[in-house]
Amino acid sequence: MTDMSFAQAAERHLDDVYGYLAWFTGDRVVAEDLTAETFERALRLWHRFDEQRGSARTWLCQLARTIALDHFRSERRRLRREERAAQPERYDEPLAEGLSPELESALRVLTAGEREVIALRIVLELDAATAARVLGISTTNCTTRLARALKKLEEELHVAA
Amino acid sequence: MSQHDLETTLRAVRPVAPPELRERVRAIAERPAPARRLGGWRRPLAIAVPLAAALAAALVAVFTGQNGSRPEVSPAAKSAPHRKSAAPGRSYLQAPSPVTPEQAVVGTARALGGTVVSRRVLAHAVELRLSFPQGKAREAMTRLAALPGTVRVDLTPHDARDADIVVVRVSRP
Repeated sequence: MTDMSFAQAAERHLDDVYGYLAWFTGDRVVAEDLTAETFERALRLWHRFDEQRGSARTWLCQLARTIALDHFRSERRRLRREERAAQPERYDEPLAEGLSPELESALRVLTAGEREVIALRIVLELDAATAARVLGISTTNCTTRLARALKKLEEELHVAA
Repeated sequence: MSQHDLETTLRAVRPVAPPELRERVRAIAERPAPARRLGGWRRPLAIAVPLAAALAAALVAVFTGQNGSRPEVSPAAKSAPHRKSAAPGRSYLQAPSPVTPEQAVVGTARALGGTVVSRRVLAHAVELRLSFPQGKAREAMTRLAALPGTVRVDLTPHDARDADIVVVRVSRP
């Protein structure tokens, strides 16, 4: 258990959870809904949170990831059902404020998995072990995934230039 | 743009939750935590523990019933070792009843071709008159004398042309 109250944890880590989900889903509106859902579930499961096993931020990111993956699965089902899978994804809003149009379009080329690892390791500045824990992969795998994502992003920017 | 610059740029544009979302999450956090339900590892435990207790009670009842109120074994059953119990609802094998000295003498005599001529019950012993084919009496006497429970072994004179009578006394159980 923990001395921190749920309200304190929510206040402190809201931006982290939202930022992670915005990068992961590539859609800020969806990220807002998923963030609220993450905190709803976190409130129900708060009694299970153990500070000794990891920080509240890591725990919330793990929950957020589970919720995002559920969202992706249901979204895929919906797209199949509506036979819209062939249509390209459309994003009306930028991924984050302050991104150059080149960087924004280069980021759109990355997969959700690649954006996710950048969000955790660079945007949220989680260390490799913690990010790997959130992703459910090994630290080495996490580092490799990040290196590939950054290389791909660099190449996209180079092509755009 | 180098990778280092890229990382610096990405860090600088860290998304911030919009005010509406912040309010929404605050409202969630102000709600009372829902009552804890049995979940995770507790749920199977909640089923397994009473089940194990019921099983243990049933086993205790079965074994207590066998040892505490076991029915008397009839003499007929005693003479038939490994016979299945005829008691309704019971299907366990009965243990062979211990062989009495008298039964051991009779068994040994029959193995040597002898037969029981007569049986007399005395105060503390049973006297058996056994008839053996000629030439077998001496061997029979040696083997019968070695049996536990044999008190005395005597050879009586011929009472038939081709048989010897051996009188054996064995202790009564």
